[in-house]
Amino acid sequence: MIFVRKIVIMVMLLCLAFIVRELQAPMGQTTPLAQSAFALGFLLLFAFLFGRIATIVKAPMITGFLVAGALAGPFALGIVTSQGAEPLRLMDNLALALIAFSAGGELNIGQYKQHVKSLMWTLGAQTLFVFTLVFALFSILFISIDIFHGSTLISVVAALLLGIVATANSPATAIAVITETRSSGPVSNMIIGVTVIKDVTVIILFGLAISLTEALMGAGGGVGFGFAGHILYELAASVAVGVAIGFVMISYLEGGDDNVALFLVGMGLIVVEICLYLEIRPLLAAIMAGFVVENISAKGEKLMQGLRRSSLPIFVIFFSLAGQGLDMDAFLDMWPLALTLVIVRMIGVRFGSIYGVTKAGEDASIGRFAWTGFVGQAGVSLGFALMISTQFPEWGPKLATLIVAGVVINQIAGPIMMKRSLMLSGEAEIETGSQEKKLSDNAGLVS
Amino acid sequence: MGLDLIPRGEMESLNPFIALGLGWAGLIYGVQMSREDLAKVDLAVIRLTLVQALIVLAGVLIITFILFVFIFNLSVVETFVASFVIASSAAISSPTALALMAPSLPKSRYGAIRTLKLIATLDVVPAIIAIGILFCFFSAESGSQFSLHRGMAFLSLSIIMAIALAVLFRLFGREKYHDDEELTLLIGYLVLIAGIAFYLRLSPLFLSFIVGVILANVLRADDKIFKMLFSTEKPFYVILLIITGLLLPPFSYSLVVVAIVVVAVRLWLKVIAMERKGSMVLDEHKTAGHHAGFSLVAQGALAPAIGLNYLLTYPGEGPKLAFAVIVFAMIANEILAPFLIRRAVGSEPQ
Repeated sequence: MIFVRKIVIMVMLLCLAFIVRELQAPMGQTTPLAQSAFALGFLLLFAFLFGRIATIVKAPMITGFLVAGALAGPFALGIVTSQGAEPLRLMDNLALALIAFSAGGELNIGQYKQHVKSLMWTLGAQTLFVFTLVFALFSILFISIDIFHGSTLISVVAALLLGIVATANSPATAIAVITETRSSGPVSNMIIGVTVIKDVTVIILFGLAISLTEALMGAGGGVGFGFAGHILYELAASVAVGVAIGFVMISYLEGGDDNVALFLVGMGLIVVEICLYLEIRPLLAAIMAGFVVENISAKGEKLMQGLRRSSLPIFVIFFSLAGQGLDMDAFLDMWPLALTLVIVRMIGVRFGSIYGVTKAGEDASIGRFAWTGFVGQAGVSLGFALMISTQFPEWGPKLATLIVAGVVINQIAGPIMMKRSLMLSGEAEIETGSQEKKLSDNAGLVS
Repeated sequence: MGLDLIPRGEMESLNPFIALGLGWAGLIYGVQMSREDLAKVDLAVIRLTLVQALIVLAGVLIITFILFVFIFNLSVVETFVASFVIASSAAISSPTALALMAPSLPKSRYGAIRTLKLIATLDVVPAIIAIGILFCFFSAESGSQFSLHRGMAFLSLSIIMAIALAVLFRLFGREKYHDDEELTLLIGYLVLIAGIAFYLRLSPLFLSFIVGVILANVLRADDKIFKMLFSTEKPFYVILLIITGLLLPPFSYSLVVVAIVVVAVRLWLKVIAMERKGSMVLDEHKTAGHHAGFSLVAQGALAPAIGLNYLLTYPGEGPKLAFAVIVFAMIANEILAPFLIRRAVGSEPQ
């Protein structure tokens, strides 16, 4: 019955959207305000519905948000066009900044101190395993299928970059699934710790790889070792901005105001605007800000409470827009290679995680459950793909298409696998299916 | 006008917040219009509310129209539409200032204060309806030209859309949700209402107001949607005011002059209307009846919302000028409100 009602609402929402579009058509060009407000309103409700349906089929809500975004986007129903979604990029960045505050706020030094060894081993082993497997296999594949028109050098270099990009994760996805399932424990801590630290290391590795590629190729988009310097500037400036924002947040949170949600939205916007202006990374700056609040003040819990209260709308906006932006054409073009990449990467992640945890002397079951938290890929990987495409216009776009196609699969499969692992590990407080049951105690929004 | 920290291009990124603010402003007034609650209000109070709102609307419309004709170089139709929008915003009052000051006012005046708060809540109705009808008959799509045929079609469209959105909400609301899910649903719903209105060049305030009226009359008074809507009042109000500030056009003396005249005429008309007609409902509190118009000086968030609604739907200079006048007048009214409210109801009745 609940499922049928959701389908009825979805059909009605879709009918309303199509009718509105038909009525608008004779009126001519619409304003960006009309396009973006209509797109966001529709996307929020549509994705929310899909999120609820996802829980019925035991998938995480964010998978529902992603699917809804992809369906509403230009590659399927076309209700949310790229033009309509363009002004929503600030919302997207704002949501990412708020998720990053949360990621930083979860990193309590005291909690992680005795697990530093295991974090480092897992991080190192995973990175090495994934890179080696992807690089080795795809060097052979690229040469043998002649995807880069007979150039062995380009094939090897492309495999090198692909190997580095394959090591990237999505802290936002990990945080979203952990928040939704209200998980806590060694597996969740491992996932958050590794994804956040890896977000920094992968940027450095990618900078070095791009520089090496440039040196090997002898030509390109004018990058060279200056690019590595730029990456270092980005990292240093992001950390500095994050620390400064963190102290501003502490001074506000130490005041008496308990309604921190609006303040956090304001701070999120400030982080985004400063980072866009300085051309640095909002994700890293916001993680740093959350980290400072958690570890330098006693207001970490107040910050997390404010974020938890508004986390769902943030996740809906972020992941439905991510879904809307997924390039389905790229996926259809490259799906066999992308599937190979995903499988090889998963093997590397799984064995790397188990090896790292065991080597650090911790229970191997942590690695067996935690590895699924490193499958999801999103913003950073897509950013790398864009950079490769721009810097190496002759062969970069083909590699970028493969990366994007891989991200599409990882981002759909990753959260589902992660949620299942968290449930099996016993760290998930809310199990799928019991969510509806728990809600039966609450009154409905309307009678 | 300000530090210019936010470039024009970046302002477009704030569109979702604008939609959210306007959707909320209309809905929150609409949901207060339940048949059950209105039936409890003395008919004389409703009559007084309507009369004073219409007197102010008509008076400010005439004065603003004349000033605009002499000062600004706009077409007659654009001048009329801009003046009408300013007049509609002038007609409304805010109960918030009265509510905030109530604890410091004499207890013996609580009866009068309650009635005045009711009037200040209800006088937004003619203004929002007037704006909604104006947007239909002088639609932005036709370049503000009057069209009876198009007007009827747009008005019908507004009502049909409002019914469809209310049905959609009712379907959504039948399920059980956590607090964060309710917030998501509410935000999505408010942005969708405003988005549809902007998409079809209707008034988001009017559309969300009608949706609110429908919901108020089909849902139970204790439904969580109402609690959720009122509990989010502070952040949404702040958002609306921040956006108003960001979109404020450059300062100009001529606009300030018009705003001062609007403030003076509005105040005078409120006082006159309440003096002539106020005795109908306030005769047991004679001093309140005498100066009651002063207590309706504050305008609240709906005035800039009306200005934003116009600014973001219509092209040309008229909306920019009208928006600036509305905001300047609102600031002046909010500054004057504490003094004038104390003057009106601050002393014991004679």
